[in-house]
Amino acid sequence: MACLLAGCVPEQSGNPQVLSPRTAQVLLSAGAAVPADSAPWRDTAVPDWRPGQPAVWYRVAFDAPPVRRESWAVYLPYLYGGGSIVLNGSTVEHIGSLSSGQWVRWERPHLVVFPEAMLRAGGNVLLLRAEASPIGNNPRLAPLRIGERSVLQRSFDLRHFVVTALPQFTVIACAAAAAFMFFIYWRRRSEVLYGLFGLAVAMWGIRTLTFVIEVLPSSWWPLWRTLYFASTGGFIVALMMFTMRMAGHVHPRLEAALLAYWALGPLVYAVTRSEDWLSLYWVGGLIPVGVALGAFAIVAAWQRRSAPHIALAVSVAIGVLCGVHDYLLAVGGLLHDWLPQWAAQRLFLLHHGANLLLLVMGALLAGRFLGALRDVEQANRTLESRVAERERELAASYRRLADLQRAQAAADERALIVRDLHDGLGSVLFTSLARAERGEMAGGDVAQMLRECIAEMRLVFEATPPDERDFAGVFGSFRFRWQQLLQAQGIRSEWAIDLPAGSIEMTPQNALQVLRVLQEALTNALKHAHAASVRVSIGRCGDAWSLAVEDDGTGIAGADDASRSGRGIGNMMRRAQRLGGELSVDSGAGGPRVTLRIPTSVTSHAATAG
Amino acid sequence: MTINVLIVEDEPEFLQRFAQAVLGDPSLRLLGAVSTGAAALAILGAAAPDVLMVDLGLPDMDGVDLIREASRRCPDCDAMVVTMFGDDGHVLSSIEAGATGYLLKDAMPQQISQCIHELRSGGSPISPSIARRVLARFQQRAATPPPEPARLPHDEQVQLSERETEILKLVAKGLAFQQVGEVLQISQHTVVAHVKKIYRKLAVHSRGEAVYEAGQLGLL
Repeated sequence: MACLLAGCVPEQSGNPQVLSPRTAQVLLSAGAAVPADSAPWRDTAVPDWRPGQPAVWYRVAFDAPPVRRESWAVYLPYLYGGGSIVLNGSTVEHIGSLSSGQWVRWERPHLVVFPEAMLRAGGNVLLLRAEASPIGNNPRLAPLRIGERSVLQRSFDLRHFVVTALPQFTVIACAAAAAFMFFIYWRRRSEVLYGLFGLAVAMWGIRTLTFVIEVLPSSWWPLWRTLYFASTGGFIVALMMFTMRMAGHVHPRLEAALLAYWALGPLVYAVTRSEDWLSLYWVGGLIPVGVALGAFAIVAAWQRRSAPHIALAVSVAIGVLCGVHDYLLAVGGLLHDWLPQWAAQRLFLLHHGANLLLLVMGALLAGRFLGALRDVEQANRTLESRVAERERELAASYRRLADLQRAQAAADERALIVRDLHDGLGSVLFTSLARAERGEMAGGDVAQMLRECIAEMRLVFEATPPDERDFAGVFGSFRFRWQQLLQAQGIRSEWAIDLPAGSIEMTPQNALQVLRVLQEALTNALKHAHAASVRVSIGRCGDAWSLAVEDDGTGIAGADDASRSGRGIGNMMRRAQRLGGELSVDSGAGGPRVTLRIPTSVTSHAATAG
Repeated sequence: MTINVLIVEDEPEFLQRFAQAVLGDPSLRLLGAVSTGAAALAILGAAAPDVLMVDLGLPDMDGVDLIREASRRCPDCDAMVVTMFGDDGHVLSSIEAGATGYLLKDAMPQQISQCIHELRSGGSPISPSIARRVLARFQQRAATPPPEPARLPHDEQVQLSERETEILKLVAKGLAFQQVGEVLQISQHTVVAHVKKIYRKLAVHSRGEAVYEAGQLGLL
């Protein structure tokens, strides 16, 4: 910046091909006609300003060398109100002014090339008509320079970039940044900082726009100035609120007061149309706000000692200094006394200081945003690890539950086995033990008893195959064994089995009960009834299955061991009841018949409890 | 023609019981009655029995291994596994190892000699539960063919025929061979021949499966 501005300071001496006149003559005449040499010209210094005059003429005499390497030109750092340039009596250029029916405020510098023919070797006279701009009402003579065009072009380009191009960039960048910030605020109303920053950026963009657009229809001018004051005040107020909130302070009353002060300026202007009062007092009143802002930022930086806060404080301080500088430059006085050369260039710094400040604030917001993202990521990681932890706990409790279920299943299984043993093998063994101890069992009886035990064991194996739930398969094993057994005893057997695959499905325990009933009946036929043939039949009978064993023997009543048979029938009855079925003993066609009926509700699904 | 029988049983009571049964039948000759696999292998090295009766729970080796070794050394020998219930998984493994019959451990002496004669005359017993397992074996096999059939063309031919499947299904229902023959309207001898063939297929099938497994393991 410093070297940028250094380029704008006129050379005191040096290149003889560029002149920097320090004296001129002024004619306080509003007339547009080129004045004569005999007019009442008065000597004055360059730069010069004439408050209260609508327009004045300046007269600058200079010597041009007879031999020139290139065209000569005049460079005017500013000519706010426009006007005319006359060389040796001929008008070279007219720059649009109020008198041409528009409102103008030229921020840009001017470079006017002299036609070769008009420039004389030796003494030349340059007349400059400077008109008042709508702001300030002061016709001014800038510290002009006359000389080789290429040299002046560099100064012109530099100043043009600083006072015209940069603000244009600023307007576009502000519009984009404000839209982005407003979008964020629109979607997340709780993020007031983004809203305030968007407001500040928007205000700054609008304010800069009033400098970028230099020519307006006259009727628009009041609106334009209202916009200027509104955006200037709004920018400062929004910045103040942003800085306070950024530092974690929310003062609704103070914010309300700031907003009210903001509104005051444009309102007063709209009513009074008085620029002077506003520029002097209202804009001046914004300076304490800016200073407070700077103080606030500095205190916050001192307390927090973090890079973002220090950066903010430094940029706010720079911004405030720029603001003060511009204010002094605008109202005249101090700065013009201390640094007349600098003040004459009339370079307003707030444009650039504020850009710097906004850049720093944008970076701070981006930093906050990134920090929030980091926090979210961290939170996600924490959450993920918690979820994983919970999953592990859940898996562990599932494992415990599964272990418990397995233990429960094992206990249930054990209870069933115990009941089975009690029912089957156990009862045979205990009964036989009692009889053997009473001396009622001969060797053959013991062998018979043991064979019964083995048969009981086989029955259990048959009824509980690991891979079969279909009663047809279970019954197949039973039939195979008994067929062989009966055949070995010389008893004919007939099997009338109407049992399609899958038609009866039972738990192994129920299947075991059914087979025990059949086995008991067959054992009776084999041992006690002296039968010659046995008929086993299974078939569907309405909503029940009927399983019958019929023989042609003497029957239970005529059995030689009636009490045992009676007990056998009692057992069969109990088992039938436990199954949910019923048992009947009657006389069939050939002899006694034992029939077990089981409702299909029991046999239709494997899950029935045993 | 006398049938030479070698008994391998580690329980003295049953060893004696089986030996008595063999000795009580003049058409049978007791080649040996030993209680360890090692002793059985020693006899197999010197003589070729017609029937080998093996209890599976031997003190020094698995009876299934003994059966496999015996059927390898003397293919004409009928191995018979002694089982308590006739339907446990060991019977199937024994058949796959080359056994062609089983004997229930509580069989009466005359049943024992009857079983030996039936076995020698070509009849292998098969219980419903074994029939079910055999069916399941081959069905599983058919459902998941090996990924490299070209490598095992021999094994691919081991499939149950339709008739064999029918027979096994009837046996699984508890029907005796005679009843099976009646249902299918074939003679009992034909049924017996089919069952014998099923036994052989099971052994081949098992060997094919072993080869397949070995191929999978990268041993071949």
